[in-house]
Amino acid sequence: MNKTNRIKTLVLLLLCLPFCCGWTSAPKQDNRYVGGELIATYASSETISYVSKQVIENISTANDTPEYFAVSGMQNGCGAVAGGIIVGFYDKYYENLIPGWVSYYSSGMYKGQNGTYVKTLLFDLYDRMQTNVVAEGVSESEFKNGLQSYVVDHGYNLQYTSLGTGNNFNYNTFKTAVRNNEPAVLFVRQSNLYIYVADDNVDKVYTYSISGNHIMVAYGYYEVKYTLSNGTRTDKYLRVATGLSGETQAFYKIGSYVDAAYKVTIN
Amino acid sequence: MREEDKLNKAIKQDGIDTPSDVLEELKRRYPQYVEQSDKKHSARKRKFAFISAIAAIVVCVAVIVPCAVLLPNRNNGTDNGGKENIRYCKQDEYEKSDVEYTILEYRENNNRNFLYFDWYELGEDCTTYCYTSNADNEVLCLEEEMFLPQSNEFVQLSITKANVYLNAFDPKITSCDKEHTVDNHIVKWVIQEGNATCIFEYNGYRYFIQIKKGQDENRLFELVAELLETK
Repeated sequence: MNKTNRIKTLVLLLLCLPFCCGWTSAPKQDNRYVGGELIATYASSETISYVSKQVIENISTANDTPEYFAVSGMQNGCGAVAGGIIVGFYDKYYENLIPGWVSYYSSGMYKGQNGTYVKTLLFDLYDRMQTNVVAEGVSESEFKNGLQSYVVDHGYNLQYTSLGTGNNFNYNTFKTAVRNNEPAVLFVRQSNLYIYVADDNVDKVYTYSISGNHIMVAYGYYEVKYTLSNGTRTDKYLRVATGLSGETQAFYKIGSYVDAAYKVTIN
Repeated sequence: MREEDKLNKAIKQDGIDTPSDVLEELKRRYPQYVEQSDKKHSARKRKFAFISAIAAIVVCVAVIVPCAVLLPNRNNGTDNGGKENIRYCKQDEYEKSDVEYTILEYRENNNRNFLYFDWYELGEDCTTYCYTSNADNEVLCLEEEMFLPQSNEFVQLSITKANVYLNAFDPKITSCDKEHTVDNHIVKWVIQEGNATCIFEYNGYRYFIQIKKGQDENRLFELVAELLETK
């Protein structure tokens, strides 16, 4: 064996070594989303005293979205609830999505969580997303496949368009989606939700957090610029359907804790 | 000769018989001795009183405190929410389910005295939910949602006992920081971005009213007055 062949053999052996010893690289672990617990953190509630205030933009999808939530028997069901909100939203435009039921009133306002039709929808999605099968909750791919399967089986198409992750969230694309009446799903780790109370010369922002990984639906945005006694500040929030019973709507700030975000289009 | 013997001899010599006479004679002859004895006696008294007081306190603490802690709470499970122990429930301690009955039906079938909206003839899509404890299946909260077509409002009413706190309602309780009085009852309220919410208590129950997309506090107060009419 000449020198070149010996080197080739050595390199080949080195490359094969990890496989021979069972050192395969671990498959990428998908984050699981379980629908965390609501934790109040009001100690950090903030009062903003301002000289003047300008609401720059306050835009939502038409009549926001339905406000569904997990019910008994849907342990770790945030994926199914977020998927159900998307389906309920689009049922207004594609009525066969929830057979035998319309998800809105004549005024356009979305109906509440119907105990028969919406419950059936949520449990269907819960199963399609294989909730708690591999492990607790759902992964991003399980959510996406489960929702897509439901929509296709009811005769429609669904597309996901990535809006980026974490601090690379594409805010402008999201704003365009909202203006085009398209909601988005957010896959987030432990993060804060906000209740925003506007008042004369003083706004209050109450903070509460979701303890675990969660999936929710974003359907609007709110931008406000304050002139303070010592300068200015601009706050940007997304409007979200939380999927949590009790507080079904809230404001949300984009940050590094957003694992993924997708605009969802059904047609 | 010892001091005591000297004293006895002196007493015999002087022909003193009665105890009081002896004491007087002792004070006269040995004023220092008698004074010291008195002081010792009162010091012993104080010491005894102090120890007795400490012992009494120890006995009280040892008996009364365990009794207070261990004896069953007589109010537990009764229909007087305000007088019971406060119960705080986290998300994983209860479940929310839709139920077939209305709040009014539950009230009548279970002989409860809480207020209710008599809106079943007026509204559409009435849905009732029940929050139950995972531990003992106790009903922690009843909730009803109704669409009122006349006013194009979606109204939610939630009722808990006044001593029961569910973490799902924490945001409402904290953010309702303005006060108004309706029929002599204090109503706490807030208009937040999206909803109008108010809370009040009556007869051992706490009531939450929320108007989805509502932005008028006066409408909240009208609904409170409407509820109070059913008392």
